[in-house]
Amino acid sequence: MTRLRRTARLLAALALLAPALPAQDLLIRDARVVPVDREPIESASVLVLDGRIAAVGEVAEADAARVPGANRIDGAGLTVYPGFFAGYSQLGLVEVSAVDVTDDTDEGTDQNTAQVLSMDSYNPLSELIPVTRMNGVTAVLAAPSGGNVFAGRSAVMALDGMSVDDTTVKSPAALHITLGEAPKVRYGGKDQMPMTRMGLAAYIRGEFTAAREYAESLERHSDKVARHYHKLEAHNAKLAEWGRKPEAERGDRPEPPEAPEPPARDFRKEALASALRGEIPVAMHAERLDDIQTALRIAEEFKLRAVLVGGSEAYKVRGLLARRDVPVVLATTEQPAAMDTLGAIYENARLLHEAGVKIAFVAADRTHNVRNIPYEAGLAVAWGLPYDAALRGLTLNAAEVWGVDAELGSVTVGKRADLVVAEGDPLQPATPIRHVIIGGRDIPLESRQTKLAERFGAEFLPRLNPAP
Amino acid sequence: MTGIRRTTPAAARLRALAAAACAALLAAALPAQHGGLDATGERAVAFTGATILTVSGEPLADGTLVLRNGLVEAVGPSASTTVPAGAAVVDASGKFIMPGIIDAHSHMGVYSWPGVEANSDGNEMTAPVTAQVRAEDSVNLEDPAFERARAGGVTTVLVLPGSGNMISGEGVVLKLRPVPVLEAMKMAEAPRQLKMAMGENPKRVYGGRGQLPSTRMGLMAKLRETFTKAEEYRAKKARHAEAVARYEAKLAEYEAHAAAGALKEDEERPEAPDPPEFDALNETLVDVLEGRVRVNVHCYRRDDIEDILRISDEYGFPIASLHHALEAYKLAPELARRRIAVATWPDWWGFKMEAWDATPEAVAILANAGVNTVLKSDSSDVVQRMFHEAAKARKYGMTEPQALASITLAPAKALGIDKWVGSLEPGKHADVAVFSKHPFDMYTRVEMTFIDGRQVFDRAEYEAAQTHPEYTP
Repeated sequence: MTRLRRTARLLAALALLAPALPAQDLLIRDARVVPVDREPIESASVLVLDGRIAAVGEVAEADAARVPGANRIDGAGLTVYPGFFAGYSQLGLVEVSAVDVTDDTDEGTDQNTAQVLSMDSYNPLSELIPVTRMNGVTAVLAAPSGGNVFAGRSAVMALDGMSVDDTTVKSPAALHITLGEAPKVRYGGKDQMPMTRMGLAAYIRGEFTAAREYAESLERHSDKVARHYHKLEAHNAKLAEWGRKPEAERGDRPEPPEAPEPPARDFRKEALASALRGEIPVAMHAERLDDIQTALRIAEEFKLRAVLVGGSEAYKVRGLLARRDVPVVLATTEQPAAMDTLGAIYENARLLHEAGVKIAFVAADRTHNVRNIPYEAGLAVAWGLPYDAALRGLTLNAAEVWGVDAELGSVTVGKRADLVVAEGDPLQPATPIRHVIIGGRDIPLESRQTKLAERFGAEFLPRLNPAP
Repeated sequence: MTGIRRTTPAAARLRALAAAACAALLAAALPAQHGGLDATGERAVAFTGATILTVSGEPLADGTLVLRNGLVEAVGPSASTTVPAGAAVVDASGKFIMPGIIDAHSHMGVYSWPGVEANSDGNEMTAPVTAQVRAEDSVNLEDPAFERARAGGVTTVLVLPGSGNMISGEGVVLKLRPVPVLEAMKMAEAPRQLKMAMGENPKRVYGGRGQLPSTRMGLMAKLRETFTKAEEYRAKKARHAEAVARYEAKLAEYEAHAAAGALKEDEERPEAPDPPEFDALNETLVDVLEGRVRVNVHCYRRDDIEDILRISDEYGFPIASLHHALEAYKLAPELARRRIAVATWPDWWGFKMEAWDATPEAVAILANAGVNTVLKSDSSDVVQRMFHEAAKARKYGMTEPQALASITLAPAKALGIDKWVGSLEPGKHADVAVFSKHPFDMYTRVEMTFIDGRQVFDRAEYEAAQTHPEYTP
C-alpha cells in the first residue's frame, strides 16, 4: 500500500469517528465476488440499497446513481465475500471473563434455565464486538454457555447497532443442551442430579417428557376452552330463552357453565415444548463419542431437530450424523486437552464433510478471540477440507443451521448486506481486510485495541511509520 | 557453588546410563510417525532445493542444509554448498525449512493431558514463595502433548511452574527428544530459570484464603521481605565462610605448633564453627541475587511491570523475560534499554481485568522499539501451531524476520540458549522443522521435525497410520 493510500485511509477512519448516520446505500464496483451459494464471479458490482443487497453483477447506471459518491468502493483487486458468521459464541455476553459483574454468559442457578434468552444479556456496545469485526466476522450466534443441562436459548446477532432490537437477527435461535462433563461436575458437586452421565440422560428425558405433558395439558385446556365456549353459547341461548319467558313461567335463572381452570404457565417447559414442536433446533453440546450417541438417541426419541456443537469425536459417527441430517458446529483448534476431548483430531472437519455432514465453525475462544474464526476454517483446509466447504461453513452453512439463511450467509439479492471485502483470501492471516459491511454500513476498521496501540505505541507502530 | 549441588557424581552416572538407554529406546520404541532419517552420527542428512529460513541470515531461495553428528554442518545456496559423500539426500524442492520452534512458556508435563485434578502438578500453592521447587520434578514425561508439539515443529520448550505463587519455583528447558527419561530430555546446556508472578493470580490465590498477599502492595511487601531474608541468608553464609576461613587458619597454626611440639600451654585445638541451617528456598534465591538463575516474570499490567523493575533495581538482580506482559508495549523503550525480553501472545486478551488493555499490535511495537519479542504458547493446544501465532503477529505488523525470530532465535536468546539453538547455523543443534508451504501460510503443514539430527516426526508415516474407524449402527 502506498503512503498516500495509508494516509487517506487514516483520515477516512478519523472522519468516521464523528457520529454519522448509518449509510445504508452502497456500491462496490468491479470486484471479484464470491457469493458462496453459486460460482464466483470474476468481475461484478454489488449494489446495496437500504441495507440489503439489491443487485449482484451488472448494476444499472440509474441505480448506481442513487448511491452517494462517498459510499462507492472501487473493487479493483478486491474480493467480496459474505460476512463471516461465528456459529457459536458468547460474544456480547461478557466483557472481562474473570470479572463476575461483567459476565452474563451462564445462568448457573438451576439444571434447567431454558426460559432465559441470550439477547437479554447481550450488550451491543461491548468492546469485544469491534475487535471481532476486524477480521470479517459480521454475525454470531450469541449463546448462553453451558454448565446447566439446559443453558437457555441463543440468538443470532448482527455485529453492528446501538440497541439489541437493531442487532437481533433471530431470537430465540436454538435451545442449548449440554452433555458430558460440565453439568455433572456442577450439580454432582452439590449432590444434585445429574452426578453421572446416566443421570444427565435421565434428567434430559424427564424434562422433555414433562414439557410434552405440559404442552399436552395446554392442548387439553384449549380443547376444554373450546368446549366451554360451546357450553357458553348453549347457556347464552338458554338464558335468552329464559329471558323471553313471562316472569311467572321462568323458574330459576340457568346457571352459567364453570370456566376450565387454566394450567399454571411454565416458561421453561414452553421453551422445551417449542423445541419439541420443531420450531427451534436443539444445540446439543457433546464431545465424547458416547455423549454424541446419547444426544442422537435423545434427539430421535423426542423428534428434535438436533445440531451437534463441539463434536470432538463426531468423525467416529459421521455416517450416522449424515443419515440423520445432524449438522456439526466445530472448532478445528480445540485439540485434546480435557478428558472428554481426548479424541480430538484436526481431520474432524474433513471427515465429516466427506461423509456428507453439514459443518459450521466455532472459534476455540468463544468470546475475545471469535475474530480468529476465519483461521479455524483455514486450518481445516490445511488438514484436507475443500476450500469451498470451509468458506461455506463460515457463512451459508452456519446461517442454514440456525435458520437465518433467508437473511444472511451469501451474497444474494434480498439478503442483508453483510459483506467482507478482502485483498485476497480472508482465511489467510496475511490478507488485509479492507471493508467490513454490516447492514450496508461500511464499518470503520478500528477498535479499542487499535486506539490503544496508537495512544501508547505510535512511535513504533508500523502502520503509522511506513518504511521510507 | 553456594547453591544446591546440581550435579552429583551419581547423577552424572545416571545421565550417562540414561543416554545409553535412550539410544536403545529410540530405536525400539518410536511410534510410526517418527520417520527414519538420522543425522546423529557420521552419516549426514542433506536437504536440497528448499527455501531455507535460517533466521540468523537472509532466507535462501534454493538452499541446501546439511546435518551431521547431531549438528548443523552446513547451510547455504545449493549452488555453493557441498553435500557430503554418503549423505542421505532429501529433495526438498518446494518445501520450507526453518529452525526447530522454541516455546518459551509451556506447562507440558506439569499440567499433563488430560487436564484433570490428578494431573495438576504445576502450582505448589501452599505458600506464596516456593523457590525451592523445580518443575522438572513434576513433569509427566508421557504427556501426549509432547508428541503433538513435535508434530508442530517444536523442538525446545521451557516448562515453567504456574503463576499461583509470587515465586513459584524453577522451570526446566527440555529438548523434545522422544524418550521419556528426564535426564535425556533436559537441555544440558540451558541455564537455570526461575518463575515469578505479579498481579492478580497470587493475590487471588492467597487473598482468597485471607492471607498475604491479597493486594498488589501486599505482594510487593512480601517480595521485599523475601529478598531481604535471602540477603540475610547470604550474609549469614558469607559470615560463616569467613568464620570457616578464620577457623582453618587457626587450625593450621595449631597443627603446625603441634607438629613442632611447640604448643603453648593453654593452646587448644580450635572448634569448627556451626554451619547455618540449610534452607533450600533461600539457596535458590541467593543464586537469583547472584545472577546465576534467569528470572522469568509473569505479569500483565504496566504498574506490575514497573513494580518488578523496582525490585530488580533494589536487589540488584536482572530480569531475563517478562511473560504475557500484555501492557509491556506501554513501556517498550524502557524494556529495550534494560534488555529485558517479552514473551507474549499475539492476540490473547480480556480473560481477566489485568489482560484488558491488550492490543495485537503490541508485538510489533515492542519489536520495533528494540525489545527481544518472543511468542510463546502457555498452552499445550497452541504450542502445536506456533507458526500460526507468528503468522498472526506478522498480520499485526511484525516484519517477516521479526515474526520468524519470535518463535526461534528470540526465545533462544530469552532463555540464554541461543549459542546452541534458534537458528540454522553451522555448529548449532540440528533442530529443524520442514514445512510443505511457508510457515505463515494458513494451509502449511509440518512435514518433518528433527531434534539433534534425529527425525522425530514424519508426516507421511503419520498419514499412513491414520485409519479413523467409524461406528456404523
